Amino acid sequence: MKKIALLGNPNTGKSSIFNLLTGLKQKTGNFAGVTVDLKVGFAELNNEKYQFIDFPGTYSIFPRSNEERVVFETLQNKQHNSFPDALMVILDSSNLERNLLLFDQLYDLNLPILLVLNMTDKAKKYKISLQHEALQQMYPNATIIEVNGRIGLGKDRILEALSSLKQREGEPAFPFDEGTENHKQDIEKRRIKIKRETSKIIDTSEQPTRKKSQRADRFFLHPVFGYVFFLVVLFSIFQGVFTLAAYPMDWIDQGFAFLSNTLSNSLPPGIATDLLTQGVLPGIGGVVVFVPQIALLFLFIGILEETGYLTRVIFLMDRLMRPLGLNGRSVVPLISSWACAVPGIMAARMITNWKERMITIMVAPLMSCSARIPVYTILISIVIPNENLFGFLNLQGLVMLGLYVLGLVSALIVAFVLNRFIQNKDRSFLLLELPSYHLPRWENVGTMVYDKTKTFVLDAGKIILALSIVLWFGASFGPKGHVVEMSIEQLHPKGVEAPKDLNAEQLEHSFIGIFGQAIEPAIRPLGYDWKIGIALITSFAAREVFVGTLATIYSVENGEENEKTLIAKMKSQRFSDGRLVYSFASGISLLIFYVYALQCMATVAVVRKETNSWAWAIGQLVAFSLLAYFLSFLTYQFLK
Amino acid sequence: MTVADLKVGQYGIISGFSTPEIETVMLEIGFSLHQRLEVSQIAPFKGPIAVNLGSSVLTLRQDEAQGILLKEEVFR
Repeated sequence: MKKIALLGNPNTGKSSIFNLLTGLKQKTGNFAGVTVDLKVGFAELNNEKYQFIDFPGTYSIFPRSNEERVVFETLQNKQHNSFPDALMVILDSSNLERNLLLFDQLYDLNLPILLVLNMTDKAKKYKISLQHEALQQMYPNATIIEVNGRIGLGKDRILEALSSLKQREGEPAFPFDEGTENHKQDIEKRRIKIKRETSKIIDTSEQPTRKKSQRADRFFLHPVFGYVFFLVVLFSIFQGVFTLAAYPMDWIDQGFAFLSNTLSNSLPPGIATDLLTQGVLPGIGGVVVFVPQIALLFLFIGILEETGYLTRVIFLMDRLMRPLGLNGRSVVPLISSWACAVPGIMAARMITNWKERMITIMVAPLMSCSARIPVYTILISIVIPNENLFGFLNLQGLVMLGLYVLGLVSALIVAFVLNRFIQNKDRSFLLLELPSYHLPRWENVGTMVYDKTKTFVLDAGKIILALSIVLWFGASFGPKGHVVEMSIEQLHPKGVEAPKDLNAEQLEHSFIGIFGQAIEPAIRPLGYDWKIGIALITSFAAREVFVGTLATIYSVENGEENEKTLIAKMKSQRFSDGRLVYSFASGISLLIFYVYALQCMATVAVVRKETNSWAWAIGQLVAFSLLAYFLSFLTYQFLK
Repeated sequence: MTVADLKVGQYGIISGFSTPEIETVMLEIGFSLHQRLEVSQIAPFKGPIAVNLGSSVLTLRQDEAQGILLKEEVFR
């Protein structure tokens, strides 16, 4: 199998060509010593197999960010496990002069090299053949072909060209040693050469699509309408994501409940069946249920990205985000985190500046993710009256909105504070290209949706699933053994005065129940009893497990009316001194707790992976837990 | 003067860069000496500047734009 490195400037259509070549035969590869995941894809022609490594888009081999460092480090080390057999460089024919710098550097590596000239739709034939000729003169040992990535032409042509690349010999003629002065001189020299050699073939005539785009930008980047339009887009995305996703989510919920019920009725009773129906299946269900929202969100983001509008959002928002230590590019990760922080944090990779990226990752979990919705919904319906304010503003809806705003504002405040404390390592550049507007390429949108959803299911999913199984064990077993199989008499050999509900008794004697009671003194000042303590612990798998745990604790049977019964049971819970457990004060305190607490192991794991540091991941977990505790404490004590 | 001094629709010709670091980055991206550029958009609140350069549109923050020095004549 031949290893082909796919390289090119940003916005040359590199990822389109990667998708064209490899289709869905892609995976995310981990490379030793590299924190950035690279996409790897496979293709075959005439029994020759190719492995394509899609390197991050970069303007030069010399790195300015961690992402670009991957290119630099891979190419200077022949022993590197992803060192390529050949290079394939994508150049945009309408931006030839700018794009050539990277190619010129790569050519000097003396590896077999393919120059792919990606044409725009309206590129003129004679211009292209002129360019082809001139490039071949400049780079006699390169193979040069033209493709049109937009309309999906050229796959076979590329693979054929790869099978007949000119062999090259010699060591890389390249100043790999670091040092700004060397790099600058290298680039200056190349720029002068490129300008001299290409002066005749560069198409300087303005393109009609660009003129149209500029006219459109007068609206999209307008100081007032530009922002109004962005807000409308955001609002529509939310409406779309939440209303459309509600249907499949319902089916998934019901499907898994049905499956669990059927299996537990038809399989022989025993620990294995319980593990399957109460641990594994609900665990998988708890992951799959978020797939519709995540897929829809990335469908919308993918469309925005493909049309070219997303770079305009970055352009508009950059100035507003910078005082907070964020970057225009932070907008996408933060919006994604409204669905789930896991893909959001991964999307922060596109932020090249280390400090801005770290701040974005640190505050992303404060954006109210969809796993909080079930928690918010049930608590709000218990402690907030279903009344209208001024006759038309629903109070419960208002509180829900308030929680979202509280999360957002808190994220911005925390970012502002972090900005004061985190030292900047590199200079931050915005430097993006505003591409011309065009219709989305649906294959690219589809690939993005598939990719993000897959990463969520695999990365977050395995943690949620594993934790669900651990929690099942903790809730089913206790020091006395398999507590859920025990009767009241077995649990209380000496007898009890007033026998209570069996399910609740069993839970009380499980490991989790004992742990919940142990932490009760700590959470009492927040207004919670030990049962809520249990739910707080179990919801570390994913926040929405809170609701399921309470349903188990208050032994609500599965069924149509379960939410109503659960709410009724929760409303009737009292402390031993007769006070309501779910009073206004403790309810609000719980809501505040869920706004801030990092109740999500999947997030901790992804932060660890993305920052490549346990210190950041654990630090974030501890900081948000303390913040949640402190603010809930204040809330309860103030409202009590 | 620098790119940051241009208004929307104005042209300038690059005469130099403020620091070697900025020069390296700008050369990589495609800005070069004696090149003509036009400011096409400026984001509100002294936000980023979009410039037409050859056949593409690139964005610069204000402080990056201040690093690109221009000849002392403005074309409209």
